[in-house]
Amino acid sequence: MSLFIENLGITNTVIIVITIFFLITLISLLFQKTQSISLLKRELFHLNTTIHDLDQQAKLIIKSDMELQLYQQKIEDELNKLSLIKNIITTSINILDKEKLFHQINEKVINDIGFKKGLILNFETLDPLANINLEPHKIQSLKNILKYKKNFIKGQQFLSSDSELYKEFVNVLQCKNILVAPIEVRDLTYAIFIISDLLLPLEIKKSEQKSFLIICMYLSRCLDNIDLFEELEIGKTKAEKKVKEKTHELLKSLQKIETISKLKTDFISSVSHELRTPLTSVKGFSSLLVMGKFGELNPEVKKRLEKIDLNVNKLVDMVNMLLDIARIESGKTEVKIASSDIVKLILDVGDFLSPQIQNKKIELSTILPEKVLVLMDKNLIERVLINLINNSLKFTPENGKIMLKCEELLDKVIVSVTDTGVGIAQDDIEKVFAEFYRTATTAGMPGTGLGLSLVKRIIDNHKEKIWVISELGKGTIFNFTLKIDKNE
Amino acid sequence: MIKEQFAIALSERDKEAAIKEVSLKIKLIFPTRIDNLIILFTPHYHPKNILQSINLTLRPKEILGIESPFLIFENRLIQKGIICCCINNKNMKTYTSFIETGGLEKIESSIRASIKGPKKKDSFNFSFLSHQINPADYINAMRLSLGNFFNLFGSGYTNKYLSSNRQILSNNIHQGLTTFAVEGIEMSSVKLNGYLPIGKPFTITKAIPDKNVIIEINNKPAINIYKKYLGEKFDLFVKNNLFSFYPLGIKEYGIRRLLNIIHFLEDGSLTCLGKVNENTHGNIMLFDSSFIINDLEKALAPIKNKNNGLVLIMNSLARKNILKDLAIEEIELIKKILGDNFNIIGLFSDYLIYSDSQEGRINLESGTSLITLWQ
Repeated sequence: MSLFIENLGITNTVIIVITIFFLITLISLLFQKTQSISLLKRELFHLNTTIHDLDQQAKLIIKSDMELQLYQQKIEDELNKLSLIKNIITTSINILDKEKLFHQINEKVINDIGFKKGLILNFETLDPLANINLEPHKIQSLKNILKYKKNFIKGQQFLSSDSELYKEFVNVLQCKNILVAPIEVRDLTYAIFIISDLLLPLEIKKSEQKSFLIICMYLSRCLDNIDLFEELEIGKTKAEKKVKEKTHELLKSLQKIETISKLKTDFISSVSHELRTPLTSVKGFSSLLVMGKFGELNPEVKKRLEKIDLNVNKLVDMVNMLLDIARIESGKTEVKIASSDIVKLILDVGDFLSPQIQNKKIELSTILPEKVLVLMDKNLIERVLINLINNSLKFTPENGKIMLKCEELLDKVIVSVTDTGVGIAQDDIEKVFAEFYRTATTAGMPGTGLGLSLVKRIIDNHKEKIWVISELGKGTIFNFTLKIDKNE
Repeated sequence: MIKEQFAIALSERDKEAAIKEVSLKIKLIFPTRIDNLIILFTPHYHPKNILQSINLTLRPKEILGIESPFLIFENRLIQKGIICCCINNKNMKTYTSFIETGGLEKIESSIRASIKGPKKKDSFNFSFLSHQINPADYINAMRLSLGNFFNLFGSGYTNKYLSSNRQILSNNIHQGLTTFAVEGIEMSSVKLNGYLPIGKPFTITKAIPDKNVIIEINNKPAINIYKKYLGEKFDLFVKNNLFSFYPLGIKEYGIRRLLNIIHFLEDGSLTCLGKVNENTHGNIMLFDSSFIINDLEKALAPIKNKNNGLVLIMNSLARKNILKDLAIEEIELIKKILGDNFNIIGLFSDYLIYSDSQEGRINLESGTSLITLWQ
């Protein structure tokens, strides 16, 4: 019994020990598991945080991607629009005819906008201006609708899809996607543009609407320009007609003037010629009387006869000059152009007039080259020089200066006669070469008013130029050109 | 199929001139016999003129024509043009059917009738759906009539879009569902993706699978998933209708599938392209353009290893919109990678149809590009 009790005690101990050991193991396992669970929980937490962060990033990515897609789409649409507009402008920029303009709206243009069919109707007459693939019976149906409902379109950019007219069009065209817009010229509706049947299986995009609108606006501009061009053309034709008429009138007037001028020249020539003979006779007898060839005269009578003689001389000069002018004008005086030394001629004329020059105590100077051969009629140019120097002499006061100059310029010579005389007013400069013209400063002075006129005609006959530079009270320069003889 | 048994030609001319040009080009290669002709054309051309001219010049035994807003020819994206592809193979048999409009029953009976001939395992079925045909009805009809189907490819337009999607089949011009089953040739395919999941995964907690509607995501109105990521930009997103740029990526049976959202309803539900089941997990997807540079070659490897053949690319308009200029680069790279032994043609549509290679389920997707190889 005691052995049994002893054995029982040992077993209990063992059981207790084993139990304790088991409990310790369990506790330790539980502790490990708890730790693992905590670790897993932590990891799960991290994972959730990471997933959450990734999810947040995903939001950013999707938003950014979407914005990028939209921008790219916008750019593509704009580029397509620009390309379409560029193509239309390139093909229609020089067109100034309405029919040809609408011919440019062809299948390609309609396809480029994104549609298959198109129609442009004249707003007033409803005649088709352009038709792309639309069946005749549909066109007629549209015309029938528009006959009574045109006003629905006026003033609108697009026909609204809510409007009754739009629905009727949709019905006729059997297509839900259509665009309708007016083409206006100077605020009046000129035509209606209708497009239908999308090419791509999509709804109408905003870019397609915009492209269509831009084409309508462009057509409006072109029609405006064509109208303006037509107006200009009409105006131009009228102006041309007027110009033609005026030119014709001017030609007639010119012919009349030439006739009158010829008549005048002939008259002057004839009268001067007729006057010359009796004047020569009068001159002769008056000179003889003054010289006392017919006996001594009373001083009073002699004085008066001298005046008569003087005036007869003037008359003879005037008649001679008139005859010269008339001869030159009518071409009766032959201009004999030959090579001659202008410098020698100037010196000769200067010598010839030197007594008168010295009498008036005028200083004559020259700036001349040694020799220059020019093409001229020597006698006529001599007359020119004499008249110019005589003029200078006449209108330069005592102790004044006269300079004769000749200088070469390219293929010409410029001959100048400069004086320190009374000068010519600017208003008179253009008129000094007119016949009988006397300036205010020279009105009281002796002279016929024909000298410069003769000079100009001679220079004109040489096909050269003559011009004058002058200042009142300071002096005058007369210049004329002559052609250098290059052959020498 | 050896390369000499098919030919492709492109013309970008206007109207009749284009049809004449492609006809002449095909005629030069196959002067006597044209078995099957596939014509892809952009909306600039009228199918009536195409049919008249082709019947006069080429007289093919079978003709299939599909209208597409853009085309692919070799390494180019074609904005306006006609592509002709002639396939002359005596072993090739084709079975065609067409319905203009119709619901589930009509589609089902048409499909049953058209695929009576070909054996399911050995044939490849191409379907082209215009916007009048509801893709959900089509998929259900296919499932009902065929069960699981492994060799199905196709493309279509949704009823949101309003343009015509004309088809030519035999000597008729339609708009509807055209199916074109092919026997006697080998076909393989790859899908070009490039989308990466972004953000925290979500769970579709409530949906109407048969109506293709997602009602709730994470027990909240489905639209909130977009509101969450877009924040203040959400209104801009909706205004510009950018759902196709950020599809949902749904993981089903271990495979991620793109689910494109068409529209959202007043109660915040999302209507989508393709079926969606409750308790499916997914992410918002973002296109990663580096795919084109880094991963395209790898993606095309299964096709490139076949050495030669006719490549028909069915690309999606959403992908073109997302890639923009990169879409052209992608096409150029595909040609560059595959090389001259492959002749490439392609078309664009709103969505692609393909059968799951493992489970035989029929899927709809937008934003991807389906490349099929005919040999």
